Amino acid sequence: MVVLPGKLDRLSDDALLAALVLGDRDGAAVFVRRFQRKVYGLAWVITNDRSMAEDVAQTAFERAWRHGANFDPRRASVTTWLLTITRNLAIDAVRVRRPDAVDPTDLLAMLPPVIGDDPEKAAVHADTMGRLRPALDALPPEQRRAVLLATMGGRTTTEISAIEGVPIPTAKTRLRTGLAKLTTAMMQQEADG
Amino acid sequence: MTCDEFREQLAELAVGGVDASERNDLLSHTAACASCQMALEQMTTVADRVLDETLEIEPPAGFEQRVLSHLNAAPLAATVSAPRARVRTAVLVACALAAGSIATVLGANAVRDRDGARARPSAAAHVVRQGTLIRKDGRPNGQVMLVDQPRAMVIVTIDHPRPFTGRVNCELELPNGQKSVVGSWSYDEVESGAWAVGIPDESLSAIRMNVLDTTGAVAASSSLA
Repeated sequence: MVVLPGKLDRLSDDALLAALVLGDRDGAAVFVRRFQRKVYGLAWVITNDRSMAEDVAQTAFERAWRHGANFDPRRASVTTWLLTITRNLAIDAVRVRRPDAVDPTDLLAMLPPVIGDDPEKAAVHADTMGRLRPALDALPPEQRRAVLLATMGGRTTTEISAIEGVPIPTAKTRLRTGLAKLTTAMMQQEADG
Repeated sequence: MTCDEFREQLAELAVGGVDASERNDLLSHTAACASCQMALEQMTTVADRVLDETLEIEPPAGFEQRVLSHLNAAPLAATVSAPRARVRTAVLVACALAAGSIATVLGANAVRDRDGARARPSAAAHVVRQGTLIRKDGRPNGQVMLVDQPRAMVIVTIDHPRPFTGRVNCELELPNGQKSVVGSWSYDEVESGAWAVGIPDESLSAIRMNVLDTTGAVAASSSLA
């Protein structure tokens, strides 16, 4: 049996992670190539520092290799799992080196730009980036900030309350309400097909 | 814990914003409440999708090579005794095709645990027994490997031309004569001709693997040593 190098590009994310874990160098290369923009992108928006972002991204891939055997596809996608690792590493790095690196007023910079009227680009965007962005944009700003701080920023509601200057119960309510609205939107999208 | 109390903490649980003891209490409630379990799954999915929306940025030039060099400096290569290229390819193909099975049997770990997954001493594949798959007409037609790292599993690669049609079962025979079917596959599902599944550790002592056709007859077999 011969596996052509080009075929690696067509493997699923789960398959590539398994190849990485099992020690396949070609699989590792394709895995890094597939996820490096997302991993580096998240590291960059959290750290706002090119050098720190590269360190974080590199460590994230090493963690994926070392701990990939513990990945459970029933709990999350490979992308989510890898980005969670990246987010946690970035937050830890920022807290050690530069406590105020994440500016909550710039949280929308963490999201890709909204695609305009180009149908082709819009289709690609929908396929690759999900369909949650419109619902996220529709949230009241304070709820959107709470959701982004908690998900991408990895902040607790206690930290969100301090950042936003509101009582903890208010931060909890904003997060809970924002996520509930997004959940409703997601279920509606799934019902609509 | 009541459902109302659980719902108060649901959002923070979904984004990983509760400590371990709180998390355990909340999850113990979901074990007995299907409604709250479903609500947690939905909200966790949403939180994951928000994270997936992150901006893609091209890393600096040479990033990919630096990452791979870093990984290559560690013991990344599979530790196998068979001809290297052959086994490496087999491992790759098998894991590629059976990643879901592998990942599932490798065990669950909380994605959101801040401390990350449990450390493992080695993530490389290690072949403990292997053999050549022989068709019932006597022709060799693939390879079989039992590996104990990163987890006990059987990996089967089938060379072309494919000798089987429909669904086949994979049966392992232990030294004491005990036989057990550890999984099944069909070429409709496994297009490239390789397959893998997790097995109990005691099955690593298997001395033979049989491929059973839809009638239960042995379509191919491999001695394992």
